[in-house]
Amino acid sequence: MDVHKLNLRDAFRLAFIISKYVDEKSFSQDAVDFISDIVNKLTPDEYLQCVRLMTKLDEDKIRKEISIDLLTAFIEGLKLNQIATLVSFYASLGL
Amino acid sequence: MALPQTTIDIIATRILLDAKSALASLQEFSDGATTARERIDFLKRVIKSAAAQMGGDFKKAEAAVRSFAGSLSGIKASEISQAGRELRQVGERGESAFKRIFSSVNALRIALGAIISMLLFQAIQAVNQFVSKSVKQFTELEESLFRIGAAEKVLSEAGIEVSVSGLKSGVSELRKELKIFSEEELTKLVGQLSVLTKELGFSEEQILALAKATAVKNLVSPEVESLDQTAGKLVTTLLTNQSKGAATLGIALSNADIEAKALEMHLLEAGEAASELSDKEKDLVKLQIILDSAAGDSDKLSEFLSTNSAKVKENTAAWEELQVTAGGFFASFIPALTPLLRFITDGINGVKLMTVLFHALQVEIIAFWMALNSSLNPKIVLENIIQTIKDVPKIFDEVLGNEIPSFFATIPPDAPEWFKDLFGKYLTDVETATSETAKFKDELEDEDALEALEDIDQKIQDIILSAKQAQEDLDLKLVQKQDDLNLEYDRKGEDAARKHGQKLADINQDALDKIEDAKRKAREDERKAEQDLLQKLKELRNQFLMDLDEALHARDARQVLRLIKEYKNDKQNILDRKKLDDQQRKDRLAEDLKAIELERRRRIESENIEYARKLADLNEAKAREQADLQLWYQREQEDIQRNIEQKLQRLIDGYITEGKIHEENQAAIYATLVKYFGKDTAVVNSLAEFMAQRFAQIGQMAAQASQAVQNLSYGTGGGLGNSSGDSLRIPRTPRIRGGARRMAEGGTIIASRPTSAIFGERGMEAATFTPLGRTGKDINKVFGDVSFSGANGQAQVLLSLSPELRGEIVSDAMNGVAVVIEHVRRER
Repeated sequence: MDVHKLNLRDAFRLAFIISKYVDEKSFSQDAVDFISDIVNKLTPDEYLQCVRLMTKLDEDKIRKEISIDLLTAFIEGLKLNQIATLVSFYASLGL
Repeated sequence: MALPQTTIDIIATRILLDAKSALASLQEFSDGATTARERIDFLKRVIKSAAAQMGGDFKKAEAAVRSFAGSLSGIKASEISQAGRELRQVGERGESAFKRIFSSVNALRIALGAIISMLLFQAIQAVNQFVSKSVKQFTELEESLFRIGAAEKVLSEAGIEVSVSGLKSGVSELRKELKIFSEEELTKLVGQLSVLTKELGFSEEQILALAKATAVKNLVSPEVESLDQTAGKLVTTLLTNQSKGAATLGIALSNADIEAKALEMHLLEAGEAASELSDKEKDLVKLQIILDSAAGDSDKLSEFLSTNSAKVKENTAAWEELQVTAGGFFASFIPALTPLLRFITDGINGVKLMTVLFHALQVEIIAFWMALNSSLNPKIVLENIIQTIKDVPKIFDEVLGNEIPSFFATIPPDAPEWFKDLFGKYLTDVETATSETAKFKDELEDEDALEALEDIDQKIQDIILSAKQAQEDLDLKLVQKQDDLNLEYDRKGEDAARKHGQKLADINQDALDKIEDAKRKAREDERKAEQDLLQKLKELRNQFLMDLDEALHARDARQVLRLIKEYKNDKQNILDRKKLDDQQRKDRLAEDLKAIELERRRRIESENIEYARKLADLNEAKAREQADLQLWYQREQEDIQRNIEQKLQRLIDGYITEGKIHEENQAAIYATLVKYFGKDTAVVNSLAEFMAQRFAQIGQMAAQASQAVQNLSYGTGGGLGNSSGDSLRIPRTPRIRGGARRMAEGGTIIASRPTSAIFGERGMEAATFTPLGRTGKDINKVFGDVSFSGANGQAQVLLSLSPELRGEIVSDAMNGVAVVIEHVRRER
């Protein structure tokens, strides 16, 4: 499953979802804890929405993928889109 | 057609749950897995979990885990490869085959709503866990034995007398003393110790003694730790100068303690320090200290063994040993199980429903539990759960009752209890057969769902029949068109052949004509030449005679001789010329004939080529038309298919409008029916059979109920049915296997197809059969050939009325039977 770099609009959508569940302390954790923290807080809809944004697949296709591939895509997508920087930038705009 | 929101939430929930589980495992790995073995074991668990979602494909699962692990942590690809390799070697096929049942999602699951059964689900979970744990235990035992074998080899090569059988029997002895550890645990421990201490050159007895000491220390240790961890501490103590771990186990290994023990063992003299000991001697001293410390804990051990926790552990050990045995059983069972599972997953009959149900059970129970803890409305999920649980026993019973028994009749009697509980009802060679499903049967009734199913069944039957009819018509048309096409092109072929023959004949005739002309011309020329010759000879002779006459008249002898000579020469010349002309004429004729023959052959060849081209064109045109015909056939089939889909869609839309089917079933029913009526319309036949068998009972019950309700509206007793008129409830007639109905308690059956009924099994009963929609010739006959009353469907009724009552005459209480009031007597 390929993940994509997001355009501004989609990046803000992603940031909107993720920023609800991260704060400054989150970024100092190691990668596993950071991702686990986010995933544990996301609702199922939000999780699928994030995967959909980053993979550009529609919901039907996503439902047919296996969970571990979706998780890998989620992680790779957050890395590719530099989620820490994105969330900080989004927060700085006061949106 | 969008799926309802509830369904999407359930799937999304499952996806998120799996993600959380994977991340939790990764955290556990990061925190806990330190040795290579632990890392490999963890990775094997993750791969197995991923493989379960992929239908047992370990290769794909390995690749997925590699991507996942690589994206987030420093797990090496080589470790993942080794884990995958070990899994494949040990052979998890049975487990993955079993889980393959659960991993296929079928729209029928959604159509029937959230189908679950708490008890069935627990049984399935128990099956799953038991199988996976058993296989795990069995494989770990195999690995331990392998480790012992490897250690034995190394130790033997080092000259130390040790044998696998010796170690194994030592393990058995240990087991007798320490029942709270399973044989697998102790074998694993002995294997580990053998390998880890091989450098120390311990004998078989020493390894077993150390194993016993490790086990004892593990039990009495104040810290809660695994056997592995205790073994690790002791081995570290033996191999290094580290004694911190041993100290936590109450083992004192200071220099003073070592010196004291060495003195006791006569390895040191008085006054000598521990540094005087060789490495080997120091190892022996440490070992003895550990053994003595363990022996000193025997009181504590006895005290522990009498506690409840020890008993629990003992039971756990026994359970683990059962699992190991079962794992071995499964290892041989798996080949027999795999065809069954393949049969289950591949069959296009009701068995598929069972597998679908099982999967749905798992998914929905998770959703239900999640719903309790999330923003999902648990009531909706619970309603779905309850709604569809009602169908489980019926389907389960029908499926297993009809399909499984012959297959499972060969299972050995020592099958695990869970197996007997789940399928025991259908086994023939199991002593204590029980079934959880029996609990459901009497509890549930759902008339509404059954009614909806009846209606759907009938309408589906109609759609099936019309589809079959359309298909038959289409096939017939195809055959006719094919025949017409063949006929047309056969005729065209014949025409072409005929024309070709004619042309060839024309060419030959033409050639013959030309030959004839040429010969005629040659003959003509020859005749002319002959005439010329004669003329020329005549002229020559006349000229000669005249000239001779003049020469004679002139008495010129020389002239005469000359003339005679000249005449002879000229004559010879003419004759020679004639001969030459004749030869030339002959040659010319021969050439003409040759040219004609060549022309003929050329024309024939051209004609043959032309004919071949025509035939090729005909074949090509025929092939094109056949392709067009196939395309037409395909389009017609698609039209039939589209027609079916439209009818199904209208059917379902109609039901939704009437509110008979909940919207969330719509998409799935449609998808399911389209699937069954899909591209392969040959499935129509088998589906019709299947549907007819499965829903025949429901259809009959619906018709029976409907007819009986109508009949109950006639309160004068002129009809059949319940004459009290109070209750519209039609009791269900129990059905025995094979389809015949038991009528011991009376009742009415309305049948629209051949139906068996049993009556008289509890005493004398009378049964009357009345054709509906027509008058049967045997109607009202009691013994088949003797009419009890009336004839030709008529009956006479004597009605006695008091002046206060007024008699109502019912003209036809029953279809086909006319009740005629012939005589009414009024009493005053």
